[in-house]
Amino acid sequence: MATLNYKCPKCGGPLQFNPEKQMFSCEYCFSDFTEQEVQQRYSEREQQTTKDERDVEYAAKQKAEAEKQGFEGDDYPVSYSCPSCGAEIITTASTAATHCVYCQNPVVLGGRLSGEFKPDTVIPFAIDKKKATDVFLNMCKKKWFLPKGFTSSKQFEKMQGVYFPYWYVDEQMRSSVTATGQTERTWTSGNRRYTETSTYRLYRTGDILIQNVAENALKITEENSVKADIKVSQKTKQEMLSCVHPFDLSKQRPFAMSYLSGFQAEKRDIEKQDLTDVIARRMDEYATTLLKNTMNSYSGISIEDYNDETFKQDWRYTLLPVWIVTYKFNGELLPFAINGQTGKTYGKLPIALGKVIGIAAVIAVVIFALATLGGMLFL
Amino acid sequence: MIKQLSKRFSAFICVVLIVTISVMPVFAQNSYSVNYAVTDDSNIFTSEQFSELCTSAEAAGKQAGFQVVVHTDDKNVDSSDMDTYYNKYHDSDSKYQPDGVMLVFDTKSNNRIILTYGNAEKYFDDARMDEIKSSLKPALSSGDNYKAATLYIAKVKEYVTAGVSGNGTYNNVVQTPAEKSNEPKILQSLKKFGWIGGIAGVVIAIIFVLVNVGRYKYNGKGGTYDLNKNSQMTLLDSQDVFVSKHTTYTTIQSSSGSSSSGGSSSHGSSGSF
Repeated sequence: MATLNYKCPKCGGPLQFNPEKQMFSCEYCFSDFTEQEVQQRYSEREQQTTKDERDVEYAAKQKAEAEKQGFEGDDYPVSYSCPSCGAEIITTASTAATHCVYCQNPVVLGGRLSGEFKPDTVIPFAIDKKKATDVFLNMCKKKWFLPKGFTSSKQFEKMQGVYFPYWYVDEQMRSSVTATGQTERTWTSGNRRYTETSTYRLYRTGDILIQNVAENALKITEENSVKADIKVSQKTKQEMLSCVHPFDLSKQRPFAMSYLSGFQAEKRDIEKQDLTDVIARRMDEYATTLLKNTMNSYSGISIEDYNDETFKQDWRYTLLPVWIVTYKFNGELLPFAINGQTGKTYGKLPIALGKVIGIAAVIAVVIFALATLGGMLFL
Repeated sequence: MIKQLSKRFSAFICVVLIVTISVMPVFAQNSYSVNYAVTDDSNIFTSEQFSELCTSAEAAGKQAGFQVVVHTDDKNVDSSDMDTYYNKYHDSDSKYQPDGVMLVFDTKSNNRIILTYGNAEKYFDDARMDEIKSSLKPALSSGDNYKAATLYIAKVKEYVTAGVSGNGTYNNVVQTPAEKSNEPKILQSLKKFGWIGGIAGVVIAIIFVLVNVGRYKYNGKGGTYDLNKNSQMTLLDSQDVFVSKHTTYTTIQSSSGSSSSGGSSSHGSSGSF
């Protein structure tokens, strides 16, 4: 397996993308390098890494072995050699960037994000681990019923910055909708209140451009998944990956492998054709909403017919930054996600039911006492 | 001459006496003590009957430990008002004790009622009240009020001797504000409003738990796609075609309110009969 790690031109230490500075930093000599400087130095090696035919053969061989053992899709273990210490590391076939568990140096598995799997764009991390931790703790400050120890430093040791793959779709279309709607007029005459209801058939046609409709491009497998160390239920993971949105797409950049250095990254395993129906449904829904919004003067709008003609559809494969921390509570492992760009948080929080019920009981007693004391005024 | 004058004077005196006696108002008989009270404002009892009633009512009252009352008048009180009217009468007259039983004859309206107060209430459950009424009815039907009063006093003695019935119902007994006010206010409030506070407290506590569990469970969930920000539309065609029209009406009813107020009295009651 071809691997790549980015080393400091000055001291040879590992280079990692620094979200705060938006530059590449060496944690040993504290040197900073721009994206262009790193690209100049590593572009040739990146190309070699992604074109290595032996790597393709090796990957095919490992996949065949995994299938024999009963693994499906890209969720099978793959070994590689750390370019820094030479240790053999196991990861899944979809992992595109990670750390060596022995020397902790960042490793980019270049072959995973090459050719058709090369992302179009990437949004680099804008908040670092410390800031992500602060965001998490700030959110926890307002939550009084978290169990003891939930916000301890132990929770954050395993926090990981992960680039998750997403599809972004833009579509240009002409949509038409037929609907019925009502208007009402009321007036009073004598002791009667009259209501006149008029029904209209409404026709609308418009040229519509809908942009940046995002869909997750990573299959979420069940509990035995080792992706991103998130061994939690499929539904929770799907929710997590959709609820960290929105991202500020004005900050997206053309993909460069170097952005992955220092983070974990996942390769997409959901293709366009798998999402065609989902995207079509969402586009129809959005187009209908836009056309329906032009019928504001009517009530009780009922859509009778909708049709559209797509002129253009663009799909962009993008890697998005998410900080992930998992925690175990009452035997359930739950992930918590923080948008690596905006700091938006998502995650089902554990709740200390004893605390909530205790406070609820106090509230109940206080209300009971107030009602009894207040009642004395009415005797 | 003197003899003749004397005769004339005597005749005059006799006439004056006769006239005086004939126009003198009849004074109601009444007698009372802590144990009994007999008031015959309607003058339906003879002196002997009155005296007999006083004696037996006093004996019954002494045995019972509460006042046994027989009262007659001609106030012409409607049957539905007797309860309220005679309770007020009882409470406002100092000769009546807080604990007692009272039989009332309204000779004008021909209504009767038995009322109980304080400690006497417990001896007169619903069944006994019905029994007294039944036993008095034959005498009342025949117009023998004295016999009815005697039977009433006898029944009082009988029930006192028998003691309080163990499983009696007392729907005839209305607890009075005065009785209630003997309880500490907080207890009264607890009885009257405690259940409201309890239910409200439990409901609010449940809502509190559910809201918090929801907040923790759905932390960070929400709309993630801003359609307005990510879309553009040029409207090419917009037609609104009229299809139909219909008119309905509702009649506006003028609102009118009425209020009534009523009070409860401190007693048990047979209901008028």
